[in-house]
Amino acid sequence: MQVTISEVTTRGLEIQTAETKLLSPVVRLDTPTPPAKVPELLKASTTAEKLLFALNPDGRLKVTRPFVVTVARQEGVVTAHVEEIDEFGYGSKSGEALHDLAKTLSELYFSLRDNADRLSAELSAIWLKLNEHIELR
Amino acid sequence: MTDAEGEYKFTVRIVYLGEEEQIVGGLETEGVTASDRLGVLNLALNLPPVQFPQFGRYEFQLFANNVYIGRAVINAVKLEAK
Repeated sequence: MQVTISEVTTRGLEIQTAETKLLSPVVRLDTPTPPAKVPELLKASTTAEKLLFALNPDGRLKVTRPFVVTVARQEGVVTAHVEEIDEFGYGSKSGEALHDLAKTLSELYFSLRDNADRLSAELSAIWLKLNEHIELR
Repeated sequence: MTDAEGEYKFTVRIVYLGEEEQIVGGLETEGVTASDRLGVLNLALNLPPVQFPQFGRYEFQLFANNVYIGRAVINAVKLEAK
């Protein structure tokens, strides 16, 4: 999803529903004196981190347990790697790599499901591991 | 959002998508309770003024209890005076 903001109020965009309470004000990392308490996720590098991942691009599926994903930049390409099943997503940015990984995982799920009765031992193991994370709605 | 049940703390990371990605800010919510997995959970985050240091693309990454669940991309464009 991509939007272009052309007009904002002093408080940001108007919100029609009740606001969610924030734990702290917005943290700005570009100030000369950064705030004392910065959430751990904001201290990370988006192209060199290990994160929990449960992005679901397919409405037929739901992610029941997050994957551990390693995001890394190599020679100008960002990779998102699930070591557990050795699957990758690629992109020029981390968000693209993660989105690509989510599509790959959903395609893999349906491909293995459709051929579940004739999988090799290696693919059967991947199918079992995938089922620990993803299920049909 | 749907499929949520229980207590969640949401985190938003604002990432500048330049040659090198850079986290320029973000926020954390207080605990939000989702009582019905089949229901809809509205998350309404009113961002106080956030400075976008440069024109270009920015990504808002959304995490629920430190799990990456989605993103949205915006363009910060310079409006030319007519």
